Amino acid sequence: MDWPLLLASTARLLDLHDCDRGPGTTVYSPPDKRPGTGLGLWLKVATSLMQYLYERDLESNDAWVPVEVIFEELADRHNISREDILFVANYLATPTRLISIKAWDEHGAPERQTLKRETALIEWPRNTKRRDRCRLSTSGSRSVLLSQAAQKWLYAADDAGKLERAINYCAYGDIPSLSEGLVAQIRRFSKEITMLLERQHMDELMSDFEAHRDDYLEVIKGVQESVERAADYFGTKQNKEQYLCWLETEAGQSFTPYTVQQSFHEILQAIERLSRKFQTLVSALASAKREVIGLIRFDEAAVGLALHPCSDEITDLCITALGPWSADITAPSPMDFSGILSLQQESQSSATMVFEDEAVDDLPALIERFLHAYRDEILAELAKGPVSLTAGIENGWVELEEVDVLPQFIGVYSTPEWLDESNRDLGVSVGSGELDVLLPNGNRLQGDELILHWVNPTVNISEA
Amino acid sequence: MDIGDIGRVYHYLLKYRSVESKPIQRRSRDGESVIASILRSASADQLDQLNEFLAPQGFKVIEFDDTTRGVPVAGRVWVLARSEDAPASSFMSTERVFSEMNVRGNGTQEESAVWFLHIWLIYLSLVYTRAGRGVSEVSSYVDATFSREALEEAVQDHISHIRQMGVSEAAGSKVIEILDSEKGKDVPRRISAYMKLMCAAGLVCEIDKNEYQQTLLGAYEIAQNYDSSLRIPIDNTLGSLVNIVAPGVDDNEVEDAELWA
Repeated sequence: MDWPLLLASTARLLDLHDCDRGPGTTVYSPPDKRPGTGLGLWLKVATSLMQYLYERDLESNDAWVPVEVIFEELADRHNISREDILFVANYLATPTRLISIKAWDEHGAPERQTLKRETALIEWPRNTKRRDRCRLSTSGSRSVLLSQAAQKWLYAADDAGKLERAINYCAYGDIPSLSEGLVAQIRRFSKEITMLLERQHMDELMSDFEAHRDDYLEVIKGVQESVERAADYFGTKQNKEQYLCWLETEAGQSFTPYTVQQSFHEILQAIERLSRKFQTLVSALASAKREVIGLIRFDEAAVGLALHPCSDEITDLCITALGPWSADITAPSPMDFSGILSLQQESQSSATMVFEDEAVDDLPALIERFLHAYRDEILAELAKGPVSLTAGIENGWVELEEVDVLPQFIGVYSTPEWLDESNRDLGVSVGSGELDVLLPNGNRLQGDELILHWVNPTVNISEA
Repeated sequence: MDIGDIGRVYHYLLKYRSVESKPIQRRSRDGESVIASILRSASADQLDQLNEFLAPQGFKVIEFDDTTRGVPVAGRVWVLARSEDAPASSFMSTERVFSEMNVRGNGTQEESAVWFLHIWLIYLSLVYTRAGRGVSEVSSYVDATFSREALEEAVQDHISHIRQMGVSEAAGSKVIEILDSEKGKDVPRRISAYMKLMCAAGLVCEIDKNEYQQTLLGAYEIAQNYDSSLRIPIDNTLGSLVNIVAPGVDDNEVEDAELWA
């Protein structure tokens, strides 16, 4: 009997039902204390009473049980009076009203469902005021059954057998829910195994596993065989015909043929994984290798390591073993080649050359400012004769408002049409090794001299 | 899984540290579904071969199925974990820890290491100690959530506590000097650096803005490698802590300290 678990799983639902907060109202803090004496006595008497009535019901099959007999059974056990037992029995026999919303209609209005009769767990004989006999109501029997619901894996084989019976009865609609139930049991069992492998102080569970190890293995095998048998049976020709007929019925219309097969497949997959996990546990038990690390006071360790620091080597060891790491491979990074790559790109690119300052400066581009400042001067000098790099540098055309414009000035020699787009007759000659000039910033420029000149001086001198 | 597939899987795992066939807390990363398909269709022998390839580099791939909490039904998660049996890979670097934690730009490696270690221990106290969770409880990674605010508050509390204790107990400790030297926004900046490192390494993930959770990889590695790493200084220092703290603490704290001494 696991009444506390059954009650714990429904207590908050009932609290919510009884909660007086309306939708959209202020914040509500659910109380953690329950009303009443908090002794737990009436709960114990009630569950004992129900259990006793259930046992008597199994013997007598719906016969009334005299209150006197109940009193004899329970009074001494709980040190309570006859009135106390009547109080509990009356409480359990008095219906209460539970309201839930069943659905919303097409206008969004809730369709409420009221349960009252079902809340009475014990019943008195009808049409009389005598309260000397009672028995469990249908709801009472159901609640006892719920409290007894076995969740243990040892009983899972029986549930797997239900799959075969469902096919037998052509109850194909039940197969997905039966499968889900079985998969849920597999997961629950798997979680227990995980707990055993990971947690300390699981002695009770560990003893259970050690005692029932072979039984558990047998159940795993049994479930697998049952599901395989059901899947095979489902695949027989005769059954397939029945299934196709069923699919055409009202119940089968929401089904696809694949659903049932998928259900079998999911259980078999889950059972296979469970089997592997169980083997891990078995080998851990067999080799006594269940090394579990429990709770560590990391907060105190932090204080301790401030007062008594460990060595740098130990810190490095810890960070290397457990801290964040990155792959640091001694190989060239693409960034190492960025200069080379950009030059290669420039030589093949059809895009217009863009100077870096253009992107961030609202002023005209530096080349535009350079041409605006010096174009006329350069053309005037060209009208007189060829203009060398040295001459230009000496004329001061490599600085503009304290900005170095040497690249722009040299750019004129590579693209003379910048000076005069309408006339392409400007040419550049090279004087090998003749360049040797001191720049305003103190650097010296040496190499081939570049000389800009008109290809046909007579025509262009007049135009300039 | 041919040699090209192994290359793809290896590259992906080096970059992201984990592959999920059905991520539930984030969108699939670029190429993740392809890598998951490769791993999913790999036979047990092929996965063994992948692990043989990784073993000399100090790594192993661990597969988790839906019997693990947090893995969706029919889903799989693979993580690239450091192996406890092999030495660390030659290309594995922790240099980034020191550079990221150097938030002022002029700190020493020792300062970075001290800050990292202490924020790390406080993080571990949040997701293990406070939760009553043992180090071996890998599957509880799904419950190991924390906010940046909570971590910051815990670190600030730790520093205040150290300042108080440090004066009377070990005023000369260099570590106390380092922790005591924090000012202004140092702690928030160091926590940002810490979270950035942990997220990049796949040990922690950001599940919402400033809300984090330990990853399966993070939990697995701690459970596997704790004995050979953090246990050494922690066992050592908790032994010392009893002697230092015992006179001034209540019975419960002494009981805890003795438990791990």
